[in-house]
Order: sequence, then structure tokens, then C-alpha cells
Amino acid sequence: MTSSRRRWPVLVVVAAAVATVAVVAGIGPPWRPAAVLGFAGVCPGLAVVGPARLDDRVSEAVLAVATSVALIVLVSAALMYAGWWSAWRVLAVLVAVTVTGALVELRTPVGARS
Amino acid sequence: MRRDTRLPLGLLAAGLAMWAGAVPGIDLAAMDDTGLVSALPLLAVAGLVALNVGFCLALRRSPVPSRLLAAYAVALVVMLYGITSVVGEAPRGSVVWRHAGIIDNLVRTGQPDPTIDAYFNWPGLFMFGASVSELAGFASPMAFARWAPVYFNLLYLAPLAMILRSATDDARLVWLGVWLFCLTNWINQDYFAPQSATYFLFLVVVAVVLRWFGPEPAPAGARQRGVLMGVVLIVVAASVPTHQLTPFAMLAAVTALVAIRRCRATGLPVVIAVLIASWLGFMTLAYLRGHLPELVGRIGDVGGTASANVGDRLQGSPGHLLVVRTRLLLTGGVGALALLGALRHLDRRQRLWPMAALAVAPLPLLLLQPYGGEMIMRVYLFSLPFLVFFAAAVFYSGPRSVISWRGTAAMASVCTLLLGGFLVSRYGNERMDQYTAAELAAVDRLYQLAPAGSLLVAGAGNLPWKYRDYERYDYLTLTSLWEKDPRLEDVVHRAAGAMAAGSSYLIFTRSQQAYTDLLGVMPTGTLRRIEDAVAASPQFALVHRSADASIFATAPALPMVVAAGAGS
Repeated sequence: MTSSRRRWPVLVVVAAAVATVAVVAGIGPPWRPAAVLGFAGVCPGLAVVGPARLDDRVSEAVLAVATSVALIVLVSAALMYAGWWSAWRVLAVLVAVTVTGALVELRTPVGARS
Repeated sequence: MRRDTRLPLGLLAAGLAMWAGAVPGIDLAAMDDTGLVSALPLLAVAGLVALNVGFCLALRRSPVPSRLLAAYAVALVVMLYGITSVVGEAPRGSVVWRHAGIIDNLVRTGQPDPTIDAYFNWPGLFMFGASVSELAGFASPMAFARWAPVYFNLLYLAPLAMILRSATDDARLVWLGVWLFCLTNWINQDYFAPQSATYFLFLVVVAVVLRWFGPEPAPAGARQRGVLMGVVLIVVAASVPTHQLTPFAMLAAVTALVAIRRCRATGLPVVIAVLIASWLGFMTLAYLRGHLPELVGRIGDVGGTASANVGDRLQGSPGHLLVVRTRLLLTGGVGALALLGALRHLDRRQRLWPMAALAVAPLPLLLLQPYGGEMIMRVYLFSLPFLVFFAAAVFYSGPRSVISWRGTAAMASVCTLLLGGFLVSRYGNERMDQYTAAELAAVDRLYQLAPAGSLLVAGAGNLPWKYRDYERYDYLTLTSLWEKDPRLEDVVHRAAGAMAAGSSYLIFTRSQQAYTDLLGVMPTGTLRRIEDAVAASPQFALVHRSADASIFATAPALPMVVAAGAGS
């Protein structure tokens, strides 16, 4: 595993923290939309796709964005149909997915690929 | 910097500068029935042509300058799809406003009510919008609707390149395919809408299957393949509750690849089919119960689909007919180019077979139903990523083939022709799709005047309404009354009758007039005459008038409106 491979788990956790602070503190535009969209649009998906350790960064980014969009849809839908929806809860689940993915990656031994 | 890079780079900068200098000055009020092209400054067109020429020149370089070509592709998307975002007062088209209203409803209620309408049976994107809008602190979902065509088309670029790369080692073919896609995706399904988001997901599913689950997959261990299949399933699972049609297109594409033995995940079509069936069977019952006859009754009615998709569209003003014919010509031209490219590469059919199968895979969707007269356009959209591959292949005979200056000139000429077709086709309805500040203010005024529970009546449905209190109003259009009995006096009489029951308001706007005249929904000028008849009728009272809009209330409602301070 390269050092850059070790960086993404840290970066997504930092992005999750920044987005959470931006929402909790009620920071205004443009920082709050930037923090939220930057986190929600990439990080949950990267936490899922990252462990695959694809060699191609562009493909990895595409899959991260697609998976993030899909996860937001699925989490929002699950909470709405259950009658538990609030934007806060959606954020909490997305942060949990992201942190879990990052921790799994950090605990995976270097070189583990298949 | 290499000498052969300077000219393409210069043309990129010049093209951008010309476009940026010309587009903000576009006068949308000067448009005629051919749409935006009638008001587009020559300088903006020159900028786009410069971009085309520069791109074709950059493609000559060896090795292919990927970063430069990527910059070209991004610039083309911004310049082609961002024009109306720059010059328009607000997001174009009425549907975007309705989508904002659905998101507003979900934010307020926290739960989808499937009895409201079909949108609440496939609410995935609206739930996404509700969550993101609230988290980002947007005052309205319209905040991210304005630039949707630009960011959706930017999103499409990378998975599209992944798809094309699965079929060729020739980077020039990949980039030209991407370029042609941007020049031919005219059908306006990239606004803030479920189909725009799920089209991105469709491209991603096809890209992953082709690259990692094809007959010669990219190297991947069991863990990688497991993660990638997980991604495909998550993406499909999110698409199913988001859009009615796209999951079927995914199913058709994956099934086609399995059928020709180009997808090793042979169980994937079954999984997608089960996901679709589960959603339809458990979550859309309220909708299906009410619409089953019309959904099932049109299956296999190819004649009806062709009539609704083509025949019924060949009407309207002379300018609009020119636009419709250009659309048919452009669509047919892409098909003809693709066929030519496929014939040119018959010797490589083993490698290209998946692209051919994917190009025809959406065709069975035509058997399902007319889809509101849009099914042929949707089939074209789902085929387009694969059609442009073959269209690009017209210009390249092999990975190491050298393209002559004559070939480059032919490529630039074809791209420029497609560019012209795109501008006419995509922006041909702008006179009715654009809303002026006065129209937006009038609709805002309408909601201020009308208490919840009111009946809101519009001359035609292309109005920027339904963006708030979605479920709290009833809606009616005069065009729907006209369809039942096309007599002017009768339409006014029936509108008055419908409005007499309670608090009701009738709104006329400039874009409604454009809509009915342009598409031939009513004979030219009829909606204006209906408005005049309403103004002259003692049953209606004018409560708002501006340069581009007027609002009438039924006479008994007038005292309440005046008391509310209206009457401007």
C-alpha cells in the first residue's frame, strides 16, 4: 500500500468532521454547502470503493461519486419510509458509513488485495 | 510547450473568450420560434467552432494529449450546456419547478405520500434533494437546479470514457466519442430530474460491467470484484426507487451483455429484475392500481408509440417544424454515422460486439409504451454512448492509423455540422422554456394571493409553478379543457364553472402563449383571445398585471383579494 493509499481514510474522516461542524454550527454559504457537498458527494462512496484499491484513480473517483449519490438516496429513502427522516439522521448515517469504511481500510494489512 | 500543442491550446482559450464575451449579451426576448439560435451572437458560434477545430487538431498529436483533451471536453460541456444557465432568469422548463415542490413537500412532511401523484412512487431523487438541501442549508432546492445541465453532463464524461475505453485501445477514438456525445445529446434530459441522475448511474453500471465483469476483465482480485459488484448493486438499488425507466434500461443492457457472453456476472440481470419487480410490487401499488389499464394496454403498440413520438410532434409553427425536422435529421445522422463506423470495422467485430449489443439493447423499451411521447428520445439517449463510439470509428481504421489533413478537415466539418444541429435541436423550444423576471414574479404573486386549497388555473402547463405547498392546491389548465372541446367561448365558460366552486385564480403568461403557438396546441393567438375574453367577462376580475403575465380571480373572490392588498 502506498502512502497515498493511507491518506484517503484520514481525509474522508476529516471531511466528515468538517461537514458535521459546518452543519452543527449553521455556517452560511458558501462554506457550508461546499463542506456538505464535498463530503456527501464523495466520501461515503470512497469508504465503500476505497478498499477495492483500484489502480485507476479516475475510475475510483467515478465509482466513489456514484456510490455516494446512491447511498444518500438509499439512506434518505429508508429513513423516510420508516418515518424517522431528518437531515441530521441522514448525515449521521453517512458519517458512520464513512468512518467505518475508513477504519476497515486502516486495519487492513498493507498489500492485502484479494 | 510543444509546437503542435500551441495552436489547439490557443484555439481553446480563444473559443472560451469569444463565448464568454458574447453569451452574457444574449437577448432572450429577441428569440423567434427556432429558439436560441435566432438570438445567438455570431461570436458565440465562432467560439464553439474554434473549439471544434482546436479539438480535432489536438487529436492529431501523438501521444494523445489527454489533459488538453479533457480540458476541451469540460469547456465544451460548459459552453454547450451552460448557455441558458448564464443568460436565463431561472432554471428553464416547468418540470424543474415541480421537482422543487416535491422536495419542499418531503422536507415539510418527512414522508412520501404515494397517493399525491406518480412522482411520490419513485421519490429517490427528491429524497436525495430533501436531505442535501437541508444539510447544505439551501433556502430552496432551486439553488442546485440552475446549473444541473452542466454538472450532470460533466458527471457523464468519465463513465462514458470508461465505457469507450473498454472497446478500444485507441485513446483518439475514446476522446472523439466523448466529444460526439456532447455534440449529440440534444434531448434535454439533463435538468434537475430523476432521469438525469439515474443516467449517470446507468453509465456507471455499464462501465463497471464492461471493465471488470467482461470476458477480458481488468485484473482484479476476489475482494475487488466483491466490492465492485457491491457498488453495482448499491447503484441499481438506488436507481429503482428513483426513476421508472432507467432500471429497465440497465436490465436491458446487462441482459444483452450476458446474452452475447460478454458479462460473467450471469446472475446480475435476475437480481436487477427482482429489484424492479419488488419495488413495483410493494411500493408503487397506489399508482399501479389507478393506472394499470393505460400502462398495460399500450404494451406492444408500436404504431401508437411511433405516432405519439414522431407523428404528433410534427406540428406547430413553421419555425418549430424546422426545429423538429432538425432533431429528426440529427438523430438519424448519428445513427447513419454509427452504421458507417460499424461497417468500417466489421473485421474487429469480436471486440466491438458488446458496443453493438448495447446500442440496440434499449430498443425493446419501445414495445413497453409511448412514455408520454418521449420513448424514442429516451431510447436514443440510452443508445447514444455506444452509437457515438461507432460514429467516431468512422474516422479511425486502427489504433496506429494516421489521420490525414483531409480526414481532420472532414472530422472538424462533421463536428461543426453536429454542433449546428445540436444548437437548433436542444434550444429550439427556448421561447417557451425560458421564464422572464415578470413571469416568475407573477407566479410568486399567485401563491401570495391564493390561500391553501385554492384552484389554480393556467392557460397552459408550462408555468414555473408547483414549487411550493405542492399538495395544498388543485391545478387545472385551459389546454386540457381545449383538448376536450376546442371552442373558445366554451373553454372560458367551463373555466368559470370550475372556478366558481371556491377560491380560484387564473394565470396567463408570455411563455404559455409561446407554448400554445409554438407547438400548435391551439391555433396561433387563441390563448391571447381567451385571455381577452376572460378580461371582458364579468365573471372574472383582474388582480395582477405585468408586462408578461396577468392573474384573474373569480368575481366573488375579488373582495377578499382586494382586502389582501392585491390589484396591482
